[in-house]
Amino acid sequence: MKILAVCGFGVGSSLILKMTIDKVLKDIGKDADVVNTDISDARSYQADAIFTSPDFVESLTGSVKATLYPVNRYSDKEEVKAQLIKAFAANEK
Amino acid sequence: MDFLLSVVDAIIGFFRTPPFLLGFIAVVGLALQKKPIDKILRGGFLAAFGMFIIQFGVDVLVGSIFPLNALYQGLYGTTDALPGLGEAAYTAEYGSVIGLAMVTGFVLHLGIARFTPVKTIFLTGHFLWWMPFIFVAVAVGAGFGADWALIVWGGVFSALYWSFMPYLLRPFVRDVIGDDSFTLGHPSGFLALLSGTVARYVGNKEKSTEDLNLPKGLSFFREVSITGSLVIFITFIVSGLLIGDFGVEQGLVTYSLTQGLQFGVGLIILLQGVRMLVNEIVPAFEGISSKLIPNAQPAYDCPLLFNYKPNALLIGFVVAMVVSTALIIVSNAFNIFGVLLIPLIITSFFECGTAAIIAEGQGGLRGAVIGTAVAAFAMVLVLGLSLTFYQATIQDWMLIFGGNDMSLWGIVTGLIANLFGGLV
Repeated sequence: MKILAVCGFGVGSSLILKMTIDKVLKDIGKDADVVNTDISDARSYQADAIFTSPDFVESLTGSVKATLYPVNRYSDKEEVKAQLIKAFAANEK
Repeated sequence: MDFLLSVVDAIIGFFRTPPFLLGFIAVVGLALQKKPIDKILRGGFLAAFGMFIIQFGVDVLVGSIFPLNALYQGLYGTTDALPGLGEAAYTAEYGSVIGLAMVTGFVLHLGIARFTPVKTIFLTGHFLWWMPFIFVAVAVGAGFGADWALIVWGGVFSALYWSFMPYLLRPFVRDVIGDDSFTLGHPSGFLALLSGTVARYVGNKEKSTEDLNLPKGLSFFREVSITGSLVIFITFIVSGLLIGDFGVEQGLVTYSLTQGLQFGVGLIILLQGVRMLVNEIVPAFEGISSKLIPNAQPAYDCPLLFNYKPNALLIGFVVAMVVSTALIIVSNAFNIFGVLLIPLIITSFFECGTAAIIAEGQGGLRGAVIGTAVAAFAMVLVLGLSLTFYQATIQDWMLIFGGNDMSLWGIVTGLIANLFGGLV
């Protein structure tokens, strides 16, 4: 599975989100390719799931094929874990 | 013997070339994390690519606004459009020194967290690069000659900054996020402290920014490359109409639009480079620090606060943009700082937006508006005052990204550096 972590600048906070996703993946013993980028670039990227803030979920809706998963706290492992489990369940279907 | 010397020369030459050194730092970081060899090599290449791309991106970015300064300097009869090296030449010449200052600074920063009560670990990747970048620039401007002196200088001040600024911000961040899970690691620092303190006295917590219903379209401004292009486009049009033509054939509107687009493109290229560089280095820094100092508090990039108070962010951006642009028009009209200031889109959004969120936590809607207005005033002032300390090096870059802690600490350390200039 290919996961995109997105923020406005694509440099600082999306990297934090990516690191949190990577940690949770390790915890739950799953494997995925995680890449981080900015909101403009996200539209031209092929991914299975996009993790980003609720605001950006709204602006990306309709312009990307990937399923969007809102995350409020990028460093919160529990919140990311809940969304990640959903993403894996959707991807396996 | 000759052969040996040429080998030594080649090794020194290798490490003095910024992309190679940064690639090497990434390789060491990944090896310390015991990554497989293919990931290590890949990371080294990506970091080196990133460093190269940064240099190109800044060239495009700075090139887009250069004609504005040329136009303005012509108005006041100075011949040098912008004196000094310029960012691109500075990074090419001092990139390796900055890279070594970054590593030195991070080691010192870990030492502070390990042995003092100031247990914050700074994990905002691009400012792990840009803080030593500005401190070294200040020292170069003050006449420091020796590489070792630049490395020590850049390392020590970066470490102090990375440790203490996030530490000072802790109580303000706590009032926004409701716990101590992280603090802020971003050069909005002093602007946030200022707006937060002002808001505490003049604010009213009963009415929050988050109770307002802002139009959905406003979040359009969160795409900085687009907002930036638009503002630069408008700046060119207005300057062209007020000051005089740029001496180009294609007409003012087309020309201004081209420059606006070039600004956006430069920003996109720059961010791609920064992303590739820091993605390979920050996880290593994080891994090492979490092993050495397990109970430390991480300091993260400002957008981690954005989701807590998204309305405050947009209100802060608009207030800062209006206040600072008005001040910039006045200061340009009276040539107060001797350089044409350009609307501070990036600093208004990230730094003042963050300052507004912090101020909201202290004094609600009223606090956020008044606090951010004060911060926007301070932003223009420190930018203008800091330019002289960056004149020999990165003044062009500072005009786009300054007005924050990088300006404030440029002034403070610049005054100190001038005492030592020429000695080392």
